[in-house]
Amino acid sequence: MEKLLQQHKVYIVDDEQKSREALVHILEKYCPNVQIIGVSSNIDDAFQNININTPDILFLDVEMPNGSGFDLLAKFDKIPFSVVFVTGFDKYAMQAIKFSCLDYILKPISIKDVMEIFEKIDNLPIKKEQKIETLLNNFQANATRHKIGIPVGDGYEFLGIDDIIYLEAEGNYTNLFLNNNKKVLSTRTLGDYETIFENYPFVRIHRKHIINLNYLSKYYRGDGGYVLLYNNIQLDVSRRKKENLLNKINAI
Amino acid sequence: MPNNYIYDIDGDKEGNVYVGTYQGGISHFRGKEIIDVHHIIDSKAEMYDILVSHDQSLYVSLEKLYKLDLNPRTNKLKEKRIVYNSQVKRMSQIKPNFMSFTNGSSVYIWELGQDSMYLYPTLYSHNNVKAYNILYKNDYELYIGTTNGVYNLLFPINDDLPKTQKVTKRGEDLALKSNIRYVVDKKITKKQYFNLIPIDIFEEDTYKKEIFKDSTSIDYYISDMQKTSDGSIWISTYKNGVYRIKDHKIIKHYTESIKELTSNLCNRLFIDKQDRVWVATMRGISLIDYPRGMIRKITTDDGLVSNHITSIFKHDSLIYVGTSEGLNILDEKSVSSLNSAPPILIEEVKINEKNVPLKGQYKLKHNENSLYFKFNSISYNQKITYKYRIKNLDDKWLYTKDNYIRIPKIPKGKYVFEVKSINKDGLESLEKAQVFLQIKPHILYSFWAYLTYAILLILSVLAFVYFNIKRVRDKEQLNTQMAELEIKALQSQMNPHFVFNSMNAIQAYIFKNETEKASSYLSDFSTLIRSFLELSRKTFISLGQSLEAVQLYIKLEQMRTEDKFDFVLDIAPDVEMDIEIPTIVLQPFVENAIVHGLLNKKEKGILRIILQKKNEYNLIIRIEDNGIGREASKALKQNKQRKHPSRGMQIVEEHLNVLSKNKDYNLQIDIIDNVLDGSGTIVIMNLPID
Repeated sequence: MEKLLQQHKVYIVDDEQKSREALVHILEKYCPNVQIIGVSSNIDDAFQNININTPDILFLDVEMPNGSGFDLLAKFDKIPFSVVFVTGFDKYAMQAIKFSCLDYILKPISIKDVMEIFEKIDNLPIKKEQKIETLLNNFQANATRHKIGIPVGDGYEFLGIDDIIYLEAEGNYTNLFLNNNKKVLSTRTLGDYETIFENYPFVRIHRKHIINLNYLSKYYRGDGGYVLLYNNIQLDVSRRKKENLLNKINAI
Repeated sequence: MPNNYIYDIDGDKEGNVYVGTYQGGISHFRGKEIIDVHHIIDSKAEMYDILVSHDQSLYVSLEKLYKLDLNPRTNKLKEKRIVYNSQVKRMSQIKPNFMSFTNGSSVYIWELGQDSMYLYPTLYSHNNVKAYNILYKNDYELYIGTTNGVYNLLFPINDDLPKTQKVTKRGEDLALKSNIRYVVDKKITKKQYFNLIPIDIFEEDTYKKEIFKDSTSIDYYISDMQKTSDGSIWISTYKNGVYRIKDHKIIKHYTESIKELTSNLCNRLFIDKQDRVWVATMRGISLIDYPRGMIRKITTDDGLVSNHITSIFKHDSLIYVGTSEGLNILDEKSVSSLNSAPPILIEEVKINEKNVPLKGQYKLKHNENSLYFKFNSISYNQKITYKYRIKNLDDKWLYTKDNYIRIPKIPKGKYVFEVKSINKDGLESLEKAQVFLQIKPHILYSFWAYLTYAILLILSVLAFVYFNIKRVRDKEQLNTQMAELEIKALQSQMNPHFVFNSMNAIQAYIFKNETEKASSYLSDFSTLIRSFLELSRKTFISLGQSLEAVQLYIKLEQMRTEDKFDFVLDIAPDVEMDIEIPTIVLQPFVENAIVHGLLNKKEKGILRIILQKKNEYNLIIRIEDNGIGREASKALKQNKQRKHPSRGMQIVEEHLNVLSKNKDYNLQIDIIDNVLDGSGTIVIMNLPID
């Protein structure tokens, strides 16, 4: 018996016409199990239509002049669909998306990326509710407790950023050391985390380590010196990262 | 003295005098002090008044008025003569050769030495009038204070009878109940002062009463009133000391309780030519030297026959003292209690226990601060004590019986050592002996030292500021350099040659209708551009990130050139992907190898990137190509006049220079022309692992 591929109802929100056309073209040509149920150029129109006809997957542009993709998500009480962001080169949007471990594709859209997304959706159970919650929580301007989704071996773990004491490179993986004495092994590299945490009080002090400055209790000067963290954790500071550390300490 | 009849006075070799008295044995007077004291008259009668007239005659009022003749050399009594055969209360010299006196009820004018005297009839006509004092107003007028008011007496002219006028008549309605005792005035002032009980003050011509608020506080019986040249009125009382009144106020009350008077029981006042107030009290004489702010006393200790003083008069240096036991005459020069203690001299000075010559001023080093002074009063047969102080260190006077003083360890500063002698009566020497001292601070605390410190401090502050500014500037310069490098790095990666060639490639796929290839190439191209943009903002990136970008670049170049070369990436197993390398190093050399080496080769070439660790601290990256080699490439470049300038190497060089200078990151690059087959280039980079 032929394997019945799941039929996906897709909705597309993008303010740029050429971008919408490209995505529609790829979906129609390369994804036979996709049904495009609607296309919108702004979030208000999209909100109305989606409420009437709910998709399985929403391809959502982030940067739009009359309200961003995040704004659209914030309008829903409950989100019963998967979200795939479509973004160009917006640093903050990328950071927010990576934080929440939501799916995204980059412009210009490649056929391969789109197909990989569907493969992922078909094969992986996604905790989409929690991801979106994380995203919207962090997206709020006055959010007090920022959360981050950590891709781990068998899925995702959602942590408060403030709970992370430091991160340690473990090959291409990263160990996160938490203030409850737990350790989480993430499948992201330490370099990824350095980028993700760029606007947070985290600083790379060594090629092996990123520390949360909120847990820094003392810095001992030396060639590079070393830091003393919460619970008397002692970590070396590399020569070239010393200045970086001092700059960030001074900036606080 | 126990008794008053002296029958013999004898002196011993040491100057002590023993006075034998009729009943009481011997009184002992010390030393020289008695020599000028003369017990002139022995009389039981109270000595009411004493007067030395202009012709130097001495008049004394006892039970009768006597004129006394003394031997001017010895002051011994030669002769006494009765002038008036009854008791006289007050006497006054009025004109050069006249005196006036009153027996209490009558007033007489007597031309000195004559037999006859004038009697003022008006006073005489009043039976109960008592006269208290006589005031000489001018050559023709007297005032008499009586219990019946004040009388103005005019002198007799051309043997006329003297005329009397009761001056207070006009003021009678001003509550003058005829009990005026004293008239106090000097002719130079306009004011007249009349005493009532209590005291009232009246203006001379109008007799208008003036306000005297304190009048009721002097409610004791008044014994005398006198005026000093400053306008103060001095009032002695029988029970309550002496008041000084000025500008209608009591400005001072002298009493025995604060040792200003020998007794509160005061009989008479005498004002001498130096404006000193002599107070005759029941316990000796008090001298109020108010112009000099000094108070002294004369008692039996100074040779007085008695302390019960009833009258006092001073003429030149002689003090005539009327006591209940006779008249004493003292020369004030010889009364030790009137004189200051003998002068004092500093005899010897030692500094740090070494004698130094006597000087008025010593400038001493910080460690020459232990001092010794020896001083002496000019030898005098009495016990002298000393008081001294070190002014500026402790201004309090200290007392000693020794004639030397040792002062240990005075701190730096300027001082005056002062010493005065004090005689047994507590009188000090007029002059103090003094030595000026300056203890200089230790050289480290001197002015010059402080100046040096100040200059050093300023210099170090300036240096600090200068180096800080320099540091900030250097840092700014560094930041600018780094920013420039970022741009240059991006320029070198996204060089137009690569960008336009890539677009060209995409266009070619479109023309050939190879849409999927176009899309794939495009998305790789955009990924690469994105990573260029991202990574160029950082100075260092991980080896993994760098390789990812360079592999994508190689892939695009391979696609574009339809696999003109093969690519081999050879990573030793111990090379960790999180080693940090400068963002710019890999891509420009790879680009060089492809563009200038491999693409110019006719056959298919091979690009090899080999990563291995030299040791724990060094990573070796080898980029090998078997292209046409650098020489051929250079020649080719000149032939073709290519517009794409090979700026990549230049930028890498600049970049690495800055890193070396500012980040202490030293990377070694060797470029070797492949000598084996005469083509190709090997770039060997030796990167430090942090």
